[in-house]
Amino acid sequence: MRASYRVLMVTGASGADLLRSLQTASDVAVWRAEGRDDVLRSPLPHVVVLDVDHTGAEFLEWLRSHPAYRSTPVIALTARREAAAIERLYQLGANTCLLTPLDPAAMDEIAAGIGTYASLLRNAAAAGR
Amino acid sequence: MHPAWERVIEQPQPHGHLVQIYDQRREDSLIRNATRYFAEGLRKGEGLLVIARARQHEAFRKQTEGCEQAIREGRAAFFDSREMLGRLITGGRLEWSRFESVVGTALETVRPRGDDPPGVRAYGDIVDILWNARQYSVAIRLEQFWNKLRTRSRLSLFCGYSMDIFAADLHLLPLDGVLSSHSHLVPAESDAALEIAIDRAMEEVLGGEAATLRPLIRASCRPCWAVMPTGNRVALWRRKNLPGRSEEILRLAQRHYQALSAQ
Repeated sequence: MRASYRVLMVTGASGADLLRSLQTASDVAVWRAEGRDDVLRSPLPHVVVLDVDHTGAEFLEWLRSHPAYRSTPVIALTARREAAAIERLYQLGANTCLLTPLDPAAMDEIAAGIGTYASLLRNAAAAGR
Repeated sequence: MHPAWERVIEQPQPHGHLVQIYDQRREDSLIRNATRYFAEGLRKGEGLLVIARARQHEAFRKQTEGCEQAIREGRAAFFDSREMLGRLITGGRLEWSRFESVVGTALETVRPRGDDPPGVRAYGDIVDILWNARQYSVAIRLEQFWNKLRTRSRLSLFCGYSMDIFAADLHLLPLDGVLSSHSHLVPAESDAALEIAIDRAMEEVLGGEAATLRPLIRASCRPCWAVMPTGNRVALWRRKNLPGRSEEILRLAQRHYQALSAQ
């Protein structure tokens, strides 16, 4: 079946489990990127999952400054618990932050949620065209 | 209301900063929660400072057990928020020194009982007047001043904001500032009713996708925000992250919520 929803993951080791769960979710095509060049070479996704502990918060800033990614939803992954560090991610443009390590028991459900989120955004964008 | 939320209202943390967002047409829910907060404080010998619109004074005084006696003893004092706002803003600006002088003087009129005073509970709605006048940054600045004052004194605070969380024109960006200035967002009505209403609306609009989206919303983390009931958290997440569908869901959720609250 042709995947309907594209998710771009920019992650290190901490996102590996989520990446696996997403790859097994139906109807979701997952691209993995290591850095900025990879991101720009990937097809435009419906959602970006960004491991900011791997990329640095400035990557999110760069992503938001790029015209193609200005309004693409970004789910930030981080292991940092400090409220100020997480709030900074929201200020830089993250739509949602998830704390790592993610609960292994909930991993598949969260991956399905990301797929659904991508599908809803894709449908909303199609309706707005 | 869930007993855990009743405890948050009756026994706020020493420097707790509660906020209730309520529908103006259902002001009774604010009066009920605020007077619960007042009465428990007075019962413990705490002082009470109420800065509210004059029209609310009577309801607050009537529904707070022990209030009249506390006023006679000098343990409780009521101020008109509109009048106080006029004294706080000078030359169109809100300055800390002015706030400290005006609110500090009002606080000094309240004398908690005992040699080791247990502190003061305050209620304020000046922020609501500012919010509804679209003076969002001034409202948030005022919240920050209250927070500064809280760290210096044995003071907890309860704020009331009349806004419709279902409204299409709700200003989400300044709302972040409000939610980040408080320790707890207390539910207006039954916290379960809002959650059920939103769940039903999500299922009606999104079908089976609603259930799969829920774990993602649940896992989302916003520690700077006040602790709040799940229903409010889900409603706010939807508003911020699902433009378009959000309005449809919130319109239906509002209908369900009104029906559930009327039961």
